Amino acid sequence: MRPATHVRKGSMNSGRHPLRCAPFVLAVALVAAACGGPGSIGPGAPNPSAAADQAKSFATYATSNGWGNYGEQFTTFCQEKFGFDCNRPERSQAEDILSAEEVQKFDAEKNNPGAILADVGILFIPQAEQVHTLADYEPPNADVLPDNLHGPGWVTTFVGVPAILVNVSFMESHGLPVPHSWADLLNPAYAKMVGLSKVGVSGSGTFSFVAMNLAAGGTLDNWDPGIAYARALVPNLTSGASLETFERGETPISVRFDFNHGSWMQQLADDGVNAQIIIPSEGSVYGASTLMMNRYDVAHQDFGKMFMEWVLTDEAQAIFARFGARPIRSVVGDNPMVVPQDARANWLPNEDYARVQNIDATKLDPSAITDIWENQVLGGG
Amino acid sequence: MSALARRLSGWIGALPLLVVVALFLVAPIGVLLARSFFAAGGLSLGTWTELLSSPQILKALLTSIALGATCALLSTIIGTPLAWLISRLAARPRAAWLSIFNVAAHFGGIGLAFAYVITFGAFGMVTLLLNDLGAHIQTPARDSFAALVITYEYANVPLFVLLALPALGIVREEWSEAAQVSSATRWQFWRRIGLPLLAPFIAGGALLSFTWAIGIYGIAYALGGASPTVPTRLLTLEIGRAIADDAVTGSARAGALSVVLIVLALIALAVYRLLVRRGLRWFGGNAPADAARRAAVRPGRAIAGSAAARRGPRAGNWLKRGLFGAVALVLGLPLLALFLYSVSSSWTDHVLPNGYTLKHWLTTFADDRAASAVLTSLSLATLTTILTLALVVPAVYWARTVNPRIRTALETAAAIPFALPFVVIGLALLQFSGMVAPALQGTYPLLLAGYVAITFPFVYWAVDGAMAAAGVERLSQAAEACGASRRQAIWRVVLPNIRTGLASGALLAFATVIGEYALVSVLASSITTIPVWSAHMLLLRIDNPGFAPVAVVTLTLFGLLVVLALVVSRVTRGKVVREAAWAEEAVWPAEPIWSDEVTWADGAAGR
Repeated sequence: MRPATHVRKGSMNSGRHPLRCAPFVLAVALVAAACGGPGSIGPGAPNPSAAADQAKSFATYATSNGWGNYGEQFTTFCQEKFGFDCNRPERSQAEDILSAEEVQKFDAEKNNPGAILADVGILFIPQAEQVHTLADYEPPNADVLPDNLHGPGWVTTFVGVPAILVNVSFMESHGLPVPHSWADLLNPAYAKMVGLSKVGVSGSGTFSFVAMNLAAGGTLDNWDPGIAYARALVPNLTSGASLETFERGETPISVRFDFNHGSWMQQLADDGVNAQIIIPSEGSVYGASTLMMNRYDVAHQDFGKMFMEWVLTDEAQAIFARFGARPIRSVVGDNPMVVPQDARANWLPNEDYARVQNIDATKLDPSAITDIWENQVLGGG
Repeated sequence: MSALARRLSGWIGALPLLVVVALFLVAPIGVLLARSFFAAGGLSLGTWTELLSSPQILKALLTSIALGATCALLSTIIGTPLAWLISRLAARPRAAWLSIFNVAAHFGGIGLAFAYVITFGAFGMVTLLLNDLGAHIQTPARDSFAALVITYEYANVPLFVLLALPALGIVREEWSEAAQVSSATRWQFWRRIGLPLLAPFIAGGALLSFTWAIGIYGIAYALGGASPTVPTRLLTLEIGRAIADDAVTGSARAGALSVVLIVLALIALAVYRLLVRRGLRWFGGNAPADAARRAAVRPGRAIAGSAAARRGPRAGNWLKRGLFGAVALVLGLPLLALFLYSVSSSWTDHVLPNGYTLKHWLTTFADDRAASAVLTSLSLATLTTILTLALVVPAVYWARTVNPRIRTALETAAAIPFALPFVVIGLALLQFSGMVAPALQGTYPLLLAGYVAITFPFVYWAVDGAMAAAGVERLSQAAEACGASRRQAIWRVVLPNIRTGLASGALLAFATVIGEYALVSVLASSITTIPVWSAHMLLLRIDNPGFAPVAVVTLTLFGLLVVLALVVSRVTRGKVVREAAWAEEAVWPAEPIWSDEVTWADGAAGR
């Protein structure tokens, strides 16, 4: 029995339970458990039976069912290779993050990799290489692509073209003209109406700025014309449109890859909105999307390796085409792949693409473009 | 018994909490500060010179300060008279208004940003109404300074009122009567007596509003985070951008920016303490504990309902009704817009939707992602609440009955989440866990620990206040004198007597976690909580199915907070949660932000 005098001096109470320090022990154990560096994926060939197992638990970033038809890609791939559908809802994670964020995520999660594969703009591959998040594996069929379109841990999959989608119904009801060129977008009547993704951070925003610069007379080394153009455009710019804000007229003009807009057209038609995709009259550029493999997700490496090979096959390239994007093998090389007629149903007319240029994206550094955008365009010189 | 065991026994009850706080709050912030000055190899100011020479960063610094100052000024101008009127209401309506303000102050974050868009945005309800009336007024674009100010004020004014209320209680009715007897006019009373007395506390409230506003991340991100032009650059947004966008040098930049925010917050806090001390000189040098004890035994009836009731019907009453009506209208508008949005089939042309449907209410929770976000948020909030209570209660009990030094340690640590933006704490935890426990990064346990660390002060002050009011020292002495073990004393005597503090502390922790965006987005980007899901729906989903699901989830969250507030007020036997703190009004000047009344508000979500 304790004496009743008060306890300020901290006399030990004999009745105390030892479990009282359990949280402390737990915390120490957690810290102690957290040792050991991450493993990494090497160049060896995949093991198909391990891959079949891994197909039940893998995850991917920025590859929603709607984006690039990746849902169909995974379904078809697994049905053919393993005889079951591996496109579980949990398969697709972080659907909407921007390219720069994906690289950051792979790096930040190296001890707890959240995904084996991610769709990323080709501009961000050098960053991924710099922070060393790409696997050391390259599929054997990657050789069909020019050297600057593949490398260890990544292959180019399809290309998009920065294009202008216009809500024609909104323009008509508000007495506004429909823009047909990059120059038209400078019309002061479009104040805060032109949706664009973040430049230097997202693939589509960055390639759009590249296209604007070339259209204004710049080159990949001379950004001054693009800077002058973009400065004039800034008052008209607003956050990238979603289908919702585009349809409502909040952002009636959307600058984004053509295939994105293509995937909206059916919904817009269903909702009675007249919309038009425009490849600007001054021209645009091909912006490549790639599939990159996370160096640290060793637990899913066989699956990842097999899928990297799959995306360059005729069948997979046709699936990309059906989504409205031009598969990479159809636009490069001496002997480009001929996309089957039925897979081209969602494509814009070929003549629009005569004014689209191929550029060497490996010459572009997104952080340099971020600097230009931040300091010279937004900073006002 | 060895000397070590003897020494340990003085701390043992508080040890789990102290360890958690040290590991997940104090050490990470310390490392963050240290790292911003040390590059590889030694003391380096490289990041600093680079930062301070960037015009964009300077712009962000100035804009953050301007935004904080504008919000604080507006809150003071609107909030002071409002708080005064509320403090003079009869108990029931006062309790009702306080409940409304509590929920409003907590309903920050992504949901509030969304409410701005659909109320005042380009196609918002109010904008469409103005159009219908023939006034084609351009409301502020969602990523503009004005839009941020309007949105912040929805949480900031209620916060200010809650902060200022206890201080207004120090103006005793007797003083005004004495002034009247000396034939002073009402104006003269305020000019010469009332305002000079209150000024330091009002200024203090304004400073806390300022600190709150410069630390907000979630609202600003939801409104302007996806903008390619970033018309309103803020320090918190720059931190978020550096972390998310730049894998190569982002971390160092974010660290240095965080230090800038920390310095701003510390300056504000120091000035605040100075002001409060100054304000206190009229009230003698009462030790905080004395004040608490006095307040606890003398409930604050001094001001309730007196003045208004006695003065009778006057023009002022009519004015007052108008003011309260206007406040209710302003607070109600976004709720109405949210509701209409959630039941609209489409809404583009007029003040009312084009058509109505219940399908969003029926389908939203059938969606896997929305449902799992709701479950994740509920589980995180519940677990955090339970863990924090379990850690805090024994710690406070030990601090009060065994070892007062625990108090000093805890109170110092508790100032961190009050002063520092959650995005800074998130970054600190991210870097620190990367150093000592990389395997924990991005995991649920780390996020949970982070939430325990940032919610502990809210619970601490609620529980501490309740223990002071209950006179725990004497209670436990009495219990032990009757032969109860310490465990029995805690379970059977102490806990039942601090129910009010437990309930309001739990509510604070729960509400803080369920609306929190900054910490989860920085610390565990793969864990999708309600705010994370909402932000993605609002900002990034290019193929999104419309914003109606966000309206449904936001309203559900709002309803949940209201219901919880009601339940808690039930638990506290019909007294409003506030009542306990209200009784401590005299404490406020002595123990600044720390009454549970204020912490409830200061925990405001969305930081």
